Amino acid sequence: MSYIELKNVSFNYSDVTPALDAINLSLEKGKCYVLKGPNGCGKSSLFRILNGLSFPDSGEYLFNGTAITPAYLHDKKSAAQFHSHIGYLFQDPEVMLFTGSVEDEIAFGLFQLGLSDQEVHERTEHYISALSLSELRKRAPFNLSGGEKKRLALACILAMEPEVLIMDEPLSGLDEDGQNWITRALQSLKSPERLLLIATHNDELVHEISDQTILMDKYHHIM
Amino acid sequence: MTEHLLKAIAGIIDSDTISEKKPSQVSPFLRLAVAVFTIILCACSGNAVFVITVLTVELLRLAFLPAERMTHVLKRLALPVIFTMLIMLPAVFLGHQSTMLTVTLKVAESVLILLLMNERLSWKEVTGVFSEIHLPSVITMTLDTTVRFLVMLGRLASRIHEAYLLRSFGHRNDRRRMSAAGGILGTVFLKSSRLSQESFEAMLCRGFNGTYRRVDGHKFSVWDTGYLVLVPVLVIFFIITQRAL
Repeated sequence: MSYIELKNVSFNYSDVTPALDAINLSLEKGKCYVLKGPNGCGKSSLFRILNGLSFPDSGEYLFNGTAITPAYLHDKKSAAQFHSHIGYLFQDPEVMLFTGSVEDEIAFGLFQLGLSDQEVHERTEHYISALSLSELRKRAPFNLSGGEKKRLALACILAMEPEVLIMDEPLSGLDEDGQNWITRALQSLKSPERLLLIATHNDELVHEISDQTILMDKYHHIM
Repeated sequence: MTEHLLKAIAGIIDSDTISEKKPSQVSPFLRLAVAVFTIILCACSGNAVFVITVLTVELLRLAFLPAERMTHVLKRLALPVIFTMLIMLPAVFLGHQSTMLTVTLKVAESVLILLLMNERLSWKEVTGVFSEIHLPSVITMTLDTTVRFLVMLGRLASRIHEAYLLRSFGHRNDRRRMSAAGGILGTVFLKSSRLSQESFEAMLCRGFNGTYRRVDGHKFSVWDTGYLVLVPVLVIFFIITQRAL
């Protein structure tokens, strides 16, 4: 059964430029999908819609059977419920990191989930150690290197333990070691209970982790 | 003009306020509370012995800093002290020399306490204290975000300026430089607007519901006990010196 479903979704930033044109997409849990397409084809717009940051001009977005609409996300309880199920790794991790230290950054999302202090502490420690961030725990995120920021951003969303992970160019701006590290991490994230959707231009990553490749063309369609 | 502007921005990025420091062994809350308490006691003190003694202890603490940091603190201390002396100068002509001395000493002592605290505490520890004393989380979040934006936009402005210099070598046209400075500021402004929008969206994606808390990182230690002992010592000494008046 589809966990995420887009039915005939179109989206425009203005009347002139279409970003998505009649997109139909059906994604299931337990699979890793890789989204490929040329720059400007609408991958980021699609991710914005999937994360509830933008809404289709026409068509329907269903998440686990629930239609995601502005009215639905306007309700704080529904919005919290929705965002606890879906984690989004931005292409530029810098925008995701806003607290004073690495450990506060990981704990931020956990506090939003309403977890107890004990649970927040345990999960924060677990993901600090799992993503090799122990030595950086007191550092300010904006002073970390590109690779460290990416690792921290990943730790932040993984700590929330969402069922759906959406990542926009997770390998961009990383050196070879960083790319290998993230690729291994993504492989280990594959599970029957999780849906992974990754946008990338890296063919090696596609080969390593993809269960299904989704191709978008420059006309903003899914091929 | 452009160089001055960029130097000022670089100054913000490199300032102690936002630089990384070793985490304080003493609870930041205790450090801040004792500092404020000492400043209040000195301000209330009518006996110069109390103020001079505290100032001596602070100077002793200053003496334990590395030479470079000591110079840095003294440079920053000089300005408010000289300014106070100038302001209080008329008191000397009116025959109140001791008033000038007391006020200047109190200013020196208060500023020195704050500068020494700044040497040991980083900005995030200070904002952490605000969170500990249950100030509305929006204050802590605004302060943290401001520091982050200063750093990120400062770096951006610096990079744009470097790119401009690489493409404009040999030109000494002041008008063009002014226009470049305007361009840099404009780009930084636009970028800041986009960055704040994206950061807000990233917060929403992590389910932001207004909660902005810190992980409680400091455990009560022997250092804290030592620092706490300072409070009764200060109070007793204050009472003794006031009675001696």
